[in-house]
Amino acid sequence: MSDSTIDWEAYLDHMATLVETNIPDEYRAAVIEYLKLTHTIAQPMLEFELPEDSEPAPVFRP
Amino acid sequence: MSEDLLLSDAAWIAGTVRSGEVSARAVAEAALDRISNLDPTYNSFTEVISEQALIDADLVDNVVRNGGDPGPLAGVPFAVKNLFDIAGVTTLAGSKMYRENPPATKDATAVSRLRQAGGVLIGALNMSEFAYGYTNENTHYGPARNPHDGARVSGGSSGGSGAAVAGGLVPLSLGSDTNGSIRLPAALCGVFGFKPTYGALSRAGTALFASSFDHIGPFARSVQDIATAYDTIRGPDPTDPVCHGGSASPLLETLDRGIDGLRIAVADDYFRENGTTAAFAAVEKVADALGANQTVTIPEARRARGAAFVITHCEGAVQHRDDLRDHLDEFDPTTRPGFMTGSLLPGNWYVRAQKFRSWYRKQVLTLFEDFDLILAPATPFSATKIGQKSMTLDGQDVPVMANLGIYAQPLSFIGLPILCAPVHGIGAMPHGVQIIAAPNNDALALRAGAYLEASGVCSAPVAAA
Repeated sequence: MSDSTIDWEAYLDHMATLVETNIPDEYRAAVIEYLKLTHTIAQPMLEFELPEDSEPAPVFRP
Repeated sequence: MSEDLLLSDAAWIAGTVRSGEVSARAVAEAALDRISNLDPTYNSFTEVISEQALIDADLVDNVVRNGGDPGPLAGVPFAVKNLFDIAGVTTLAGSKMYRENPPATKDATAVSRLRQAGGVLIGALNMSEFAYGYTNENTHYGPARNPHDGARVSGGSSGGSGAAVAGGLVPLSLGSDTNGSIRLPAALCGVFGFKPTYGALSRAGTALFASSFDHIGPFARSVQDIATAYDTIRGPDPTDPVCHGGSASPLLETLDRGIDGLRIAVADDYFRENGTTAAFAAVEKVADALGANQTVTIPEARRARGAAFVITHCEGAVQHRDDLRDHLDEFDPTTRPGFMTGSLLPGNWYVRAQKFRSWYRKQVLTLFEDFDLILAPATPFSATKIGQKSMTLDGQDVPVMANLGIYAQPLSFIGLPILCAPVHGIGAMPHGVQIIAAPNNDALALRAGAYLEASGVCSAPVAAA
C-alpha cells in the first residue's frame, strides 16, 4: 500500500486513542513524518511471503 | 605523571601496574588530567568520579604492594556509557528526565566484573538519549565530538564510548549495541568495537532500549584489550534473562592462531550499494589482507533492516511508555518522534517482523556452512559534520540519520558476533569494517582482527590532541 492512499492524520488519531496516548499538536507533524518513514522502511518486509510454518523468533520456554 | 601512559593499551598498563613499575594511582591521575584537559572539547564524559577512582586505584596498589594479583585489568582506567548502573551515580541513559532519579545502589554486572578484575572506573559517558540515534548529537548534554575532528560526530548511540577511547582518555570503555550502537562509533572514531553474540555478556543493570536486540560490548585500541574485557565480563548471570554466559573458554587464548584455514568472504549486493567509494575501499583493504577473494550474498538484508526497524520501535516505545505519558516534553527532539511512532504501530507488523527474523536467521546461518567469516562495511560513509542532515551518495541526497546504520542493522537483528575493525588512511577520517561470525564463534572474529592488527592493516591510534 502506498503512502498516498493512507490517511495518516486519521490513523494517528485512531491509534493514539486506542493506545491511550496523547499526541500534542506541536508533535503531530513530526510523528506523521516518522510514521511514513517507518512504513517505507518496513514495506519490503511486509510484502515478503514467508513460509506458512514460520514461527516468530522469540521462543518461550515455561 | 605523564599523560603518555594513556597512549598505551590496557594490556600494557595492567602489566606495568602488576609489576609495580607504575602505580595504579599514577595511571588514574594521568587519566583524570587528560580528561580535564581534553574532554571540554570531546564532551565524551557526563560524569567523572575522580574521588572513587583514586580510592579504587589505591586498593589496586595495596594488592600489588602485598604481593597479590589485582587481576588482568590491574589499574586500567575504564568508563561506561551512562546507561550502565554505577553505584552512587544516577543512571541517565542520555536523558534529562532521569537527572533527578536516585543514584544506582549497585554496579551493573559488567561494571562490577571489570572492577573486580582490577579495572578503575573513571566515570560515565555521553550517549544518544535512550540509545536511540546514530550520531550522538544529544540535545541535553551536547554532542560527543569525534577526537579525529571535533567538528564531526562520534557516531551513536555509544558516541562517548568511542570518543573517550579514540581520544586516549581511557584505553577501555563499554557501550551497548541494539542496531549498530557499538559498531558505528567504533568505525567513526577509528577504534576497535565488539558486539558479541546476543546474550553472551550480561546486560543486568543497564537501561534497555529494545531487549530483543540489546547487546553490550567493549571499545578498545587493541584486539587483546577487547578479548580481555570480554573474558572478564563473560559468564552466566541469572539476573539477565537472555544471558547465556558466552564463550566457555577465554577468547584471549585464541588470538594468536592466525587466519590459516579460515574461510572468509566479502558481503556483496546490499552491502556493496549506497556507500561511498572510501567505505568499500576499506573493506577491500581488509579483504586483501585476509586473502578473502570470494563474495557472498546475505539474502534479503533490506527486508531484515525493515523488520529490525519495526521491532526496535515497538519494543522501545513499550520500554518508555511511562516516559511518553508523563514526560513527553522532556524527550530529546531527535528521539521523540521515533518513540511516539513506535507506540502507534500495528501489532501485526511486530509479529510479522519476528517471523521474518526467524526465517532470515535460518538463511544466514546456512552461509556459515561455507564461510567462517563475512566482511562488510560498518557504515556507508565516515563521520559527518555535527548538524549535517544529509549526505550525497551516488548523486542523491540521503538523510544521515536514516542511512548511517544500514549495514549494521540487518546483522545485530539476528545477534551475530561482529568485530568492528578500524581502518585509517583512506580519506581524512577513519572507517570501520565489520568482521562477522556465526553465533558463538566470537573467537574467530577476534582472531581475524588480531591478524589484521599484527599486519598493520587495522589500528586504533590515539587522535592528535
